[in-house]
Amino acid sequence: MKFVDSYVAEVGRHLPEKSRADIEKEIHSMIEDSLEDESRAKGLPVDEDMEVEVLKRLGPPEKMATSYLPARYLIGPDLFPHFLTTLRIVIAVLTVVAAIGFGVSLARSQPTLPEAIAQGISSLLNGLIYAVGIVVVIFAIIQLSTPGLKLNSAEWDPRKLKAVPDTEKISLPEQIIEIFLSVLAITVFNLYPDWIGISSLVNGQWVHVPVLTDAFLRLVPWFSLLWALDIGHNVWLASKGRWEPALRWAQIALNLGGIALLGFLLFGPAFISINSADAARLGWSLDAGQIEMVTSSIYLAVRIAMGVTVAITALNTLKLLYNLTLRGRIPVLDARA
Amino acid sequence: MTQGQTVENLIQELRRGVIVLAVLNHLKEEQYGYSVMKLLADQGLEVDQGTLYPLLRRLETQGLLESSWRLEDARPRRYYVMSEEGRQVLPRLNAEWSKIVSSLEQSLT
Repeated sequence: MKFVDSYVAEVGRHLPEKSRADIEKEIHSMIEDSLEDESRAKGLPVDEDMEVEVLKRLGPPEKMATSYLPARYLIGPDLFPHFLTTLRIVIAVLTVVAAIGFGVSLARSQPTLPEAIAQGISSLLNGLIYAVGIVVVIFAIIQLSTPGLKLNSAEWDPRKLKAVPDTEKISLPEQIIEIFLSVLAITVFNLYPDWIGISSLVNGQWVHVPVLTDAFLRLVPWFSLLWALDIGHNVWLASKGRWEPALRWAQIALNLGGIALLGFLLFGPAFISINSADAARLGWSLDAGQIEMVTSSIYLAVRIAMGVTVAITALNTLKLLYNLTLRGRIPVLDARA
Repeated sequence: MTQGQTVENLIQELRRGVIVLAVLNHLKEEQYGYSVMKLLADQGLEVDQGTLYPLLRRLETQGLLESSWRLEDARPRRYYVMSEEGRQVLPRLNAEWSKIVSSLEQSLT
């Protein structure tokens, strides 16, 4: 019985101590019954080959032990949907934080674009691994500490279910505001670029100093073209009343144009400047070093805002691309409409 | 998964539901695990030991069976028999089974 004893001991190693001895005794008895039956059927005494044959039929000890154990979960089926929801929220928050970090990194340290992307992906992955690990541990602790947990067992009313949002329907006021802002931008940057600057009350009189450099003004025609196309896009959208694949593709093209132009500004020469004469006019009693510091701070703040805008626009563009291609979500909604 | 595997899995699921009823019906009188397995096999219901023995323990935990160890020919054997609660539950299970069978027979013919 040397194989039988080893088999039973091995099964016991995978069982909880409380029930181990009892189950081991039962399995031993069961195997002896099987051997007796086999011996009678073959007309031969029990030998090692017969033991091996019977044990093989029973299957590996781990499998036999598992059949005696209740289903065990790190995160059970009742908790799993909540785990997924939490995970989605955590991933979304981390992605936004990483996008903001990416924008700040672009604006502050002026790395090359591939370096900035690599740093962004690396910090996002590190953050994700850390955060997902914490979420898993928290849910595993809840699962372990509340065995037999049943959620959502209360009575529910189908009338209280949330309506499916129509993500393809547009908001007309939103389109009108966007058109107004584009018209305003074209007007101000083409006709009144000097309005963009810093104003200060000096000796009871308002003094205004323009801050945009030639580097920026050279890009204004391109920005104007983009804003004009954006107006056309919004008019098209308003006339349709709903998003359509062609409108989504046009939005992607506009987003990419915007990213490219902002990229030119971020990686190009300074587009904001304040010299000492301007500072004196504004009534700032600062030396050259202090003026440089103030200018740099303003410039950095604007660049950070632009970097964050680039990152968020890039994320939205990727999401649009995903919905249009891999997910195939829009055709499904179109079919339903 | 091939069609054969899918069918095999579905058959396993069907049998899993039936085994509890078959086992309970065989334990109106005292039996040890191996003898229950042989009785089921004689009726054409093959159940492997890794399924039957844990099932017997589970039914005992649920209060439907009772068990006791007994020495036979210097060998310990665990005998199972239906508990009082099991005897109350079994007719209801059998009635439900009859309803399922008659309902399915209508669909199958």
